[in-house]
Amino acid sequence: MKTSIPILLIAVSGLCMAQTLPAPDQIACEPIEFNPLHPAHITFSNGLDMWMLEDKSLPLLSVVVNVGVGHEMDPEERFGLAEMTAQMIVQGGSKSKSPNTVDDLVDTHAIRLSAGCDARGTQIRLWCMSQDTETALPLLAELLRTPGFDSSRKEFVRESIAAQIRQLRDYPFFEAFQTLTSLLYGNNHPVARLPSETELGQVTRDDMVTFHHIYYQPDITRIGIVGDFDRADMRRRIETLFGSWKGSAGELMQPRPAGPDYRPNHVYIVDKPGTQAALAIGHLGLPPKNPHHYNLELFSRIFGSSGFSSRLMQKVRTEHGYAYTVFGGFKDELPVGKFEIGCQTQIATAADAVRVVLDILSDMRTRPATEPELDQAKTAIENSFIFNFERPAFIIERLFHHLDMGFKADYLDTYLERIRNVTPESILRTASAAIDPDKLVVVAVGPQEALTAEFAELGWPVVTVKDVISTPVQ
Amino acid sequence: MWKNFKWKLLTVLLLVLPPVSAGQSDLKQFFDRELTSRVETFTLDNGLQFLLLRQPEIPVFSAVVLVKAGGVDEPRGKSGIAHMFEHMAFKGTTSVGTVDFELEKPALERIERLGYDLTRLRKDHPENTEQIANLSAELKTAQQTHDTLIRNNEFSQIYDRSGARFMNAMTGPDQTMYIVKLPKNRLELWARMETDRLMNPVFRQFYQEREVIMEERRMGVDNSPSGQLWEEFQAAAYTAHPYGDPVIGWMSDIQGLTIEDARAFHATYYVPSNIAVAVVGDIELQELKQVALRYFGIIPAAPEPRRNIPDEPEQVTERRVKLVRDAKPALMMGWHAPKYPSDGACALEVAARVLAQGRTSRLYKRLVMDEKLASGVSVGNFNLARYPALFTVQVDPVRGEDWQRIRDAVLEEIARLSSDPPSDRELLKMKKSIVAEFLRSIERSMFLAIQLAYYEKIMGNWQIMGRYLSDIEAVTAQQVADAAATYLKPGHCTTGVLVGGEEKNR
Repeated sequence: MKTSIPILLIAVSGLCMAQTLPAPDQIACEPIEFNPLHPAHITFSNGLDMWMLEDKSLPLLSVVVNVGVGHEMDPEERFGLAEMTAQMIVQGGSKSKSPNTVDDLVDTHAIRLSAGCDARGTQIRLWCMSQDTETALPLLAELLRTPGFDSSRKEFVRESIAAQIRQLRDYPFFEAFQTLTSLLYGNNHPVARLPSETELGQVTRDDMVTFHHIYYQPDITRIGIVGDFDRADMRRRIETLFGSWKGSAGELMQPRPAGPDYRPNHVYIVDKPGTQAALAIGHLGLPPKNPHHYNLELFSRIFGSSGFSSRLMQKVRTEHGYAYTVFGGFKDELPVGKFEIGCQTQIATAADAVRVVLDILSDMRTRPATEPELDQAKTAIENSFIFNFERPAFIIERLFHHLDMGFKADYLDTYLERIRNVTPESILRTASAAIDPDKLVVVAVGPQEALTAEFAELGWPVVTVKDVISTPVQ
Repeated sequence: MWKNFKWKLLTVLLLVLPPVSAGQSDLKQFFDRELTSRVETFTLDNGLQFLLLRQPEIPVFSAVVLVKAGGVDEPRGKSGIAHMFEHMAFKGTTSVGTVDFELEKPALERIERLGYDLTRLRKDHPENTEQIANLSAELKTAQQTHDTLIRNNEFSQIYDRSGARFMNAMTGPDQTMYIVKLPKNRLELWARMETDRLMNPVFRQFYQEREVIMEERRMGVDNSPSGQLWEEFQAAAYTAHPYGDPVIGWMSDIQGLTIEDARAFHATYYVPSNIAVAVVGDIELQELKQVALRYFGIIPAAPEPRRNIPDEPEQVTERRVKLVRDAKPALMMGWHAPKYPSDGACALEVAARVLAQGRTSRLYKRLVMDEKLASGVSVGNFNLARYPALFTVQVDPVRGEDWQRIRDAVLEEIARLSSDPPSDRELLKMKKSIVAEFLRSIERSMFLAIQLAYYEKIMGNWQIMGRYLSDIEAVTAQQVADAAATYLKPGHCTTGVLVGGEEKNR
């Protein structure tokens, strides 16, 4: 439909409005009402948790399977095992289908199938057109329950993981944060380490078979399904495909605690040619579920996680022009999370950028946030709350994140109320308790000689460390 | 018996070849159902075009303001000015970001004058260090005075407070886009903010922001081996057309940008006839018309910018660039290709998919799975642009020293597109993937809004989206063979390679 607006109206309107755009806060804004969708939840007798949301707006189906095991469970002599296992599940065929047959099915039906791990979880994702549900869902169940781990694909999977890791060496920012993590957790902690190519190569088919047998259990698995289906029918399908999946009742390994291994108030330099310093600053944080949780969220927004509304952005980027990217705050992460700040700046301004960051931190630990700052942060959270429910797939993703972090499924029901209760004083108390300037450490990735000279003026001793990302192909 | 045999044969075929059910009718049916019957458009008398797709499921909307102005529109020596202006568009307006604009104005004028003089002096007389230092100090003082008269980042903060998500802007070679997602009750606020920045931008903190952009460049290009290779590769592939210049700008050009340049760029290109707006979300047509008229309607009409973009001459020889870095090796190959709807544009899109879409595609299977020379391969066919662009093959070699072997293999597979054109099965897979991708792309409201605005303003009509997909579906194997033979000639290839130190002396 094409319509045209009469010119006379435009002209009149133009005359009236040219100089008088209303002030943004004078624009009326009716409250909006909405009823968030709630996913249906079923726990099967084998412990498998299923969450589903129908969405018939498009003929699509999207599935995420979340198994509660990640690279935190990598045995010391088998770094990379969790990742290799996850990748081989989707790429190594099943007991009755060769990898080539699976590839062909996937490409022929335009199915997307992928896997990935973080510290404590493995996600296997499937996406397809709903007309292919009959093919895609049984395929997913087959791969997950009876993976083939076909040895002919092992080298291919090893190389694709190794290539991704190699690529990370080209991103100084990533290298800075990986180094920071290794200092905070201890270099040999599985969360802090990326496997070397040799280590990946040492993972055997038997290792993966055993790992899958021990850790891929229905009672630590969640399956989320969104899309064009009928709820009762989908329940039946999942029950048929996964209901007979029995756990091996093996003993799950306990995660290892972090063992920080660094000298606080030092600058750790990773030598890399270039014209910038990639900076990662921080110390260990708190487990996601902690008494300061809501204060920390508002602290982080005011400090550095809300883009142009944050103090870090205001000072480091806008006022000083030191960096394009600067951010910081507490990160909800398992097992303990981190307090971290990132900034990439030219070498000549690196020490000064760190000083500006430390000054902001010091201020936030000694003086309460201002009322306008807190109001800005709370209002932003409140007004954007609706986006937690924007798409059914987001609802499931967010729910899984909250469950992973140890919260209950109704986390969002009380969330806004708890945010509203935060005060400048409570943020200050939290900042004083959760941030310890004496434990901070700076990692700088860039040319060692120039950075050593640059950081002399900061007054923190400088230590040069090796690149923590695996070495190039051997 | 014979009858029985036929059934058996059919069963075997069905088992070997899983059925592919998506056909042309699927795509057309989905496109018509989801878009043709639902997208509404109107044009204000100042020439500004609007597109709306109502999605009432949740009371939010995604909005895109697309300006047909990007890297290609920059004057020579001013590369990066389109992107620089985009940064300025977040610095506020005459009514947002200021304590009192009348008070602020003289301070801004002083900064403009000093900034211009300093920029010229640094370019023309870099040896005059004393004068440069004095002028820098003077500019810094002026900036400090100005800082007391402004509200830093107020423009972005108003959006943030309003619950905005994805508030951002992107500058490309062909266009600049300003995007934001908001709750539906902020429609009027959005119209007010976007109108204001299109009409009344103020070039605040220009010279501090120029430093920020230099950092952005250092981060994305100068300290990123793959970013650097892409820049060098593009520069080698083009001799006359500005697609060869980086959108972020050459460092030497960025250093010379002034407020005057940004103002001139804005005045020429940020005119209603050069802009399309797309909204996808829980918004009614009447609501959108009202705010469009009330706000965007006040922007004075101006003629569409006159452009004089040079044509790229035919490439008659091979070109190569080689970057030696201690980094992950990379190989890029590119050919000048036709833009849609010229002959061959759709056939090359099919060629791209046959070569590198999925693990069973020809190049992926050969280079990654069988010969294990590469860890990844992708093919890009930039045929939906304002000017003819490149057909590219990008490979991640496992070992840098294998790049020539890989290049030979790519050329062989391209030649094989003509000697062994895509099979019916390859074409069917490709068709299915187009339908799936289309559905996936319209699942996300922001992506869809961007698509609508892009097709409308850059390609000439949003409905070309459907036509393009249907045209790809109709491509025959012979057309793929012909297009590969015509456009992807080995002697017309630009090759970019990134290798480690061990390759230095080869």
